[in-house]
Amino acid sequence: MTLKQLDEYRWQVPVGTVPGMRVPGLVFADAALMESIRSDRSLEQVANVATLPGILGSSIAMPDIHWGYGFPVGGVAATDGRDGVVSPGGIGFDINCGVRLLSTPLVESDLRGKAPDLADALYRDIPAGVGRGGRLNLRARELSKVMEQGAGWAVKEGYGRPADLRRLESGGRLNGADPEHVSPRARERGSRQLGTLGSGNHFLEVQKVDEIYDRRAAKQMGINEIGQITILIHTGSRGFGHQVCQDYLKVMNGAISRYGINLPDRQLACAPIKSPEAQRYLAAMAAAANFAFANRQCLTQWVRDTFAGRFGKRIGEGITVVYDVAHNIAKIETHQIDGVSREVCVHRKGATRAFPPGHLELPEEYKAIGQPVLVPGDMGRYSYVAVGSPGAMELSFGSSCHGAGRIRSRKAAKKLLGRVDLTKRLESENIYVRARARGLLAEEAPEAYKDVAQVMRVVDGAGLCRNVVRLRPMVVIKG
Amino acid sequence: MSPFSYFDHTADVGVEVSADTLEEIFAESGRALFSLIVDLEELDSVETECVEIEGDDEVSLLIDWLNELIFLFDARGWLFREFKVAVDGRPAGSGVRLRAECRGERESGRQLEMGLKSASYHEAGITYQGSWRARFILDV
Repeated sequence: MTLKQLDEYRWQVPVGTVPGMRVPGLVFADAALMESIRSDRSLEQVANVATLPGILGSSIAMPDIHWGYGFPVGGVAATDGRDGVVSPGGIGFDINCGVRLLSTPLVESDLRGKAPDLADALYRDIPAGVGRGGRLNLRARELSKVMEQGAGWAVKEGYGRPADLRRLESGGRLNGADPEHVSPRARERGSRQLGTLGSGNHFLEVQKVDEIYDRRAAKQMGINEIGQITILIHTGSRGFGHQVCQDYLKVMNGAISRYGINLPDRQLACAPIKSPEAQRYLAAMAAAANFAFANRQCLTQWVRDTFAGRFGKRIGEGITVVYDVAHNIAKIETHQIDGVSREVCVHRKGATRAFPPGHLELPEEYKAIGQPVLVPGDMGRYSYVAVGSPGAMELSFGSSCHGAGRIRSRKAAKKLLGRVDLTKRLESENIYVRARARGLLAEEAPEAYKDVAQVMRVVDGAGLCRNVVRLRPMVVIKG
Repeated sequence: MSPFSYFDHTADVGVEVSADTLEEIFAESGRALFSLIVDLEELDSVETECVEIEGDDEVSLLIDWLNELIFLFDARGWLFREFKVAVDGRPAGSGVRLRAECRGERESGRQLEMGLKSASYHEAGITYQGSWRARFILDV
């Protein structure tokens, strides 16, 4: 595939690369990352997404892109809010998979000699793993409230504080959720899964701040010094969201011929935004997104409880939400296109909202610095916190990357690691891992992922967001 | 030689199945799916669950079958090791129908290896050239 390099960090997939493209593709990457991007067929998916009716601007790809279902993971596509389509593949199976960052009053020296013990306590207290229910079993009426109220439901039930909500994307609740459009199957899966981490690439990490790039912005977030302890939670809507996505992919598969939509890939199944099918999907998607916000809220409280148990009540109460972002979501937003304000449906699949300073949706304390953008790396290296820049609004519909992106398949990662005892290797680096699934660690090893620092160099260099701090893992809990 | 094998895919798991009959394709696809989650040899076939689904064609039937199994696992704690499958035409007209007896354990508290999100249409296909072959990708 021939790409046109626009500048150091932007590459264009020209219209005509695949038949039916309505807009070009735009890939954010440097030359080195572009080599690995070319090794799977994700660029073909970027081009395919550009054929969607009503797509505006470009079919966008972040530097952590890899192959996904219809849309690539690491993709952003904005469609016209009146005449465009919405496509569940552009959000992904794990609706509102996202990340929450917490700050603590602790520093690295407070954990000296205590990290293994803390790892054991979190492993015991935080429900994680395959096929494992959590500590909550919701009746139908409560589950409906979770779908409608999101993180607010959890706070009302005693999981966290009202002040937590202002630091969650969309206040931890999308409008328009309607439990009536969620299937009994999704409900059945969700009823026992609220307050669980899940498995695969989901995790809970205790980290230390090891670099500060912007002291002022870091301070505004409550991150004050090198060595400060933070906690990162990565999880989503669990089986509930997966079922919602599956249910509506079937609906959309039926809809495309009804609406005369031709697609190069069946997995881009979609329907016009104003159609009954799309409106029902958006209502169910919002319900699943709210489930995920509530999920991360419950886990936040149990983290506070575990830390209080080990370090005292004052410490537990001192754990504060920095921010919570969704990286698999569709949002109706207003963006400037050719100088005109337009309502668009922004699909972010493996991409994070990155609003700049001054944006009205930000809480007061972040208006001066921009929206925190949380970017987890692999468990052996580091994660980043950035803030949105004005360039994101100009170039990527207010979006940035979401993580490191895989470079090796699970099979290849396991083969490469061979007999390496990853738990011991990480312990030798003072990283204490607790994981339920025996084979999982090798599949999730650092060698399976791109270097997130390289990804951040691109998004920072391209003007989408600006690095604020780097965090290194000390304790990793996986399902 | 196993009727099923796995192939590389960046973030997910690809599966290839071969069998003499279409029914065995569906049965072995089910075994391939559960083999990712648990060692089938460790399971006992102590309980049975019946499944009946319909589809427009064999490929959509296969994807729906796999997603049905994922639902039964994730929502109801089923782990299956054996399947007795019948595939025929839809009673109401065009399309295909699958009826299966699935045998295994339910909510047995076993150590599990992998979670599955969904079966996808990506590269999904069923072909016949003297014997049956199927290919699909599971989102994990």
